[in-house]
Amino acid sequence: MEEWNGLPDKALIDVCLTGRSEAYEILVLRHQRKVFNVLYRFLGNREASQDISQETFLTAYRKLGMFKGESAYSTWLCGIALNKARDMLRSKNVNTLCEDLADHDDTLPANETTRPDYQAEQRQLHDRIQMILNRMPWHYREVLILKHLEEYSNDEIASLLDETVDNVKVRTFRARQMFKKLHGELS
Amino acid sequence: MKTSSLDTPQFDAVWQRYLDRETSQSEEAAFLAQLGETERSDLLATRTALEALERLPRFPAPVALASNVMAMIKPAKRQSAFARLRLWLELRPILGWEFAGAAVVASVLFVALAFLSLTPPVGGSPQAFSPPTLASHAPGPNGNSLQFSLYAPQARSVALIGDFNGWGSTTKVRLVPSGNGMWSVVVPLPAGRYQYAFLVNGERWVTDPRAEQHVKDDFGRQNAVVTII
Repeated sequence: MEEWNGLPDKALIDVCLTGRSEAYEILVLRHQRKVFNVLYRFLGNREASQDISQETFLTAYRKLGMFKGESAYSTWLCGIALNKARDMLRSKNVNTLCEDLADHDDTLPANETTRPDYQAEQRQLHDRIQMILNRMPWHYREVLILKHLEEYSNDEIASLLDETVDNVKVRTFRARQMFKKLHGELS
Repeated sequence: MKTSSLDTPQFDAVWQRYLDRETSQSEEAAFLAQLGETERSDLLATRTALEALERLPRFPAPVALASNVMAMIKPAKRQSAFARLRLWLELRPILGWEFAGAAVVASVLFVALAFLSLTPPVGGSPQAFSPPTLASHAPGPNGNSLQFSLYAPQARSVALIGDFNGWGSTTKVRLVPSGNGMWSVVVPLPAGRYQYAFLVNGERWVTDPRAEQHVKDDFGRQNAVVTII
């Protein structure tokens, strides 16, 4: 498999399409962190995010032949992941899977330079931000995650959400307004 | 920020570009200068809140994620080279020919062709039985030579470039069509380790995904490596 490590995503997909499914592991290892983090911030629940990450990579594998390369492969994956996450929220008729922050874990890995009081302070801050995200409708939450955590452009978000760029801009504007308001209330 | 009669914030493109960090320093200064005190503090509060969002930590993916996914992917039964080529062509019309796809097809086809072309001569060297790659040994008039082949049915020209010909600057090595979309050339080369790639239509850099090794060049391209003993 080492021979494939340096290949770009598109070439790896072509290798998979010739029946060499083992090449797919490189794609999973390459993009799992992004997919998992998008889902974790969107759902606020580690276990559900892991399950949907797995489903995302499986679905993407089955649909590899449909990937046209019009966007980056990671963008395509995040689109599938968010579709699945939205479906899960709809099926449970909830807005988030993190009603209780006890389910949520935002602890930074401790290291020698991390003081316990600093860690506690950061934990509180991260919990507060996640709580704000949880309180937002998911259609606002997703654009903020894509824009401010994953640093996607408006064009990329539009492609990922199958929206027009103008709609993405308006949705982002409103999401930011709501985020600022909730941030002010909780600070 | 503009507000409607219902005090609902209305979309403001400059406001948005400021928060997207798309404004230049001069635009930013002019924009902030025209805002009233309330608007400016509102904007700064928005930016502060969004910066807190951007500082959220990113976590590593769960350790077992990749292995779980791979365990659920049924290992594909190894298909024949022809079946794999047919599958590839069905999924990807060759009209939109691209380098990565071409490289894979080249490998698949060449593996099949190399088996046919490497029929050992009577009393020939055991070297001829080594596993075929895109670059294969073939008997040449002056000792060692390599046969290079590429499947590129849409190509107008294919050249072989490598460190043995100054990446095309000292000697032009052109592949010739050998039928069914294949291009090939036999190049005599002394023993050594060589980097190479194909140049399609004089501009498209195509590497060999099945080469024994790859090295990245100064432009971020992957060059194939072949060693002749």
